[in-house]
Amino acid sequence: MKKLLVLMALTWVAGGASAADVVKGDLLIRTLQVGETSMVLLKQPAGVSGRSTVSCLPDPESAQQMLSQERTGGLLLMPGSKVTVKNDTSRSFNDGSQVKSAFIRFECKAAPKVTPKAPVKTPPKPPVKKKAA
Amino acid sequence: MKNLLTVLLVPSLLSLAACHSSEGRKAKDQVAGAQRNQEQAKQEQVPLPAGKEEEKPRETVVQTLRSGQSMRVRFLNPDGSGESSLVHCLSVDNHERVLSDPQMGGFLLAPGTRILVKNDTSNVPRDETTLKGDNIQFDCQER
Repeated sequence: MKKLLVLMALTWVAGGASAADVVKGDLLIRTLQVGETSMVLLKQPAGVSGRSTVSCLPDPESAQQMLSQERTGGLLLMPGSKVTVKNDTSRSFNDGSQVKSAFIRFECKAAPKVTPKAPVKTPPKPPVKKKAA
Repeated sequence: MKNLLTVLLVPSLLSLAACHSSEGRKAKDQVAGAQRNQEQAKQEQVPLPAGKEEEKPRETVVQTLRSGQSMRVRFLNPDGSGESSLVHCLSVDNHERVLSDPQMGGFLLAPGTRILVKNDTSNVPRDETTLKGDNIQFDCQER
């Protein structure tokens, strides 16, 4: 249940631009962390305009749990996955933003393993000397 | 499900036991065991509350694509709209060559990629996917 709650709170990455974007020639590489979702305007076969979302999920079980909920869908990527689309430059998002590159590659990055930090040792406080009355 | 299996298995076990009379004791043990199971099954059968059906788990169909293979798919977006697309498994990072064809589009998967979509089973044209699962998982593997 706790896992599900985490999934329900997916973070939206801006459709037009993101801090995690890297441009290489005519390819924009957008790295999504686990729990992040991005909108995409793409070209489907036969030049048809498409619109969807791309999300990065931690594992297939979580993806299945998420898809069992209402108002979920789009493309769910597992960590290590790379998906490339042809950008639909003829359209822009609702906020007027647009991705300029010809192609967009979404990469789903696994969450870094959290290693428990060693407890910080604080030196013992020196005993407070009582002032003589 | 376990109860159902037990109920279905009991008559066949009984008939099997009757056929193999040479294994008398073993068969008797089986019959006795089966009868005990049947009694247990009866005890465990709890009627569902009126109006509440047993929740059906969502089925995920796994589709493995080798490099160079494509598959048409119709999936649902979060707003409930259906998206008709193509999933293609790349051999190497040759997206530019594959997408240079103006008729080409959809999602190009790099080898080692695994994606899941919610299958849109409503109004699927016959020339498109015939996959019946609730979800479809695509695995792109190198040849």
